[in-house]
Amino acid sequence: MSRAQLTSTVEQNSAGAAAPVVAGKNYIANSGFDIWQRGTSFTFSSTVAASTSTYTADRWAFGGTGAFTVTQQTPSNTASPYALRLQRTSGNSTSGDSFITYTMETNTAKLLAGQTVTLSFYMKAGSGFTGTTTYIISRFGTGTDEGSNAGYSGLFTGSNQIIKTQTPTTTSTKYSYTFVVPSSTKEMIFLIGYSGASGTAGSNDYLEYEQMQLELGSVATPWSRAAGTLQGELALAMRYYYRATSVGSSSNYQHFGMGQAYSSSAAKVPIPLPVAMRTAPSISSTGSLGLLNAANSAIGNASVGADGVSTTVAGTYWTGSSGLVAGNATTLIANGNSSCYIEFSSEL
Amino acid sequence: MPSIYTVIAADPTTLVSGSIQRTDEDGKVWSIPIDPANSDYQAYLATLAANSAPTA
Repeated sequence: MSRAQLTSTVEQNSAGAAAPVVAGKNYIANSGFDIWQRGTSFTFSSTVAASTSTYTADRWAFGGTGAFTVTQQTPSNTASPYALRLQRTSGNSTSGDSFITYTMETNTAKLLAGQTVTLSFYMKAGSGFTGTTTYIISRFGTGTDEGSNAGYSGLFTGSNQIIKTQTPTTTSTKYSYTFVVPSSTKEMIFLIGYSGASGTAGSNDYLEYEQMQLELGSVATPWSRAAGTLQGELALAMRYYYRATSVGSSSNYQHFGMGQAYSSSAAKVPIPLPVAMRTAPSISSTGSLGLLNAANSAIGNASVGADGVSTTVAGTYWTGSSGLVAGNATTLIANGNSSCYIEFSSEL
Repeated sequence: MPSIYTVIAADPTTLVSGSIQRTDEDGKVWSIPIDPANSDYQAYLATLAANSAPTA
């Protein structure tokens, strides 16, 4: 039993504080890879920098060289919800570094400025791992929420970094790294993954991660979710990204919201967001959506535009085929399919 | 191929507000609100600034 676990047990038995197991000690959201709103398997066919377009599991974006996949996996440790696998696609012969990244927003990162912190996680490599080793890069900036792309590219204002390396094994092992966050820090990104991959990837060229944790102090305590509960983690994730989807619906005409037509081919539909988002979100729709007219017919080909978007309500307008009557109420629906969705992103 | 941006002007007739439309390489279209804190809007401004920079 570790010192932290022993302390926790003693404190619990004496009804005192139990710091190692309380919610809120972990500064990383979706640290157990519980939440995968965008899907559970992602393919990147060529070199790409981390950005708002390369998110995989909620809050975790990919950036790297050559073809990679990021997938949800059954964890090696029973105390983990899931594992995240970062895999060099078989046949990839592009050399370089590749990462899964986590970007922390300013209102959290600034709380760690000048503090001693410990980053810990479980990691294992596939039998065909081709990296020279692995990188654990903690990169800091003095700007405000300049985003994952700037952090990944080393373009944070006042960019500064601490680089650790670790040689992985094929057994899932817990690693920890203690460092002092620079005192002027207002933003932070972690880049964790391959260092110097080379040669041609085979079928088991991967790294798997579980139980990511960043906490104050110099001891890696047992992992816990940042929010303490699965529902809390979902709310944390939705601060940055929310997907309203027809996937899983028993109907091919899933309703998304009600609005009003303002022409024969356009309508406004306000969509309340389930939690307040970090910023007014960008909006996109995928799959066939439609607008119901007074005859209960779906007017298809509806595409979305942002129209008065706040952190709590997404005002949207939809334009499509003709058949609506200006002034009439309308319902935004899936147009005969169960695979369409609307995305709201205020990711970094 | 980089993303393509289109400025959607505010329409006083329909009361539709202005926004930025971004079409990604994979064809996905994002409608970006004009919010300085939004990372996609920041990326649009950075692209605009880069393309406006004089070349030697």
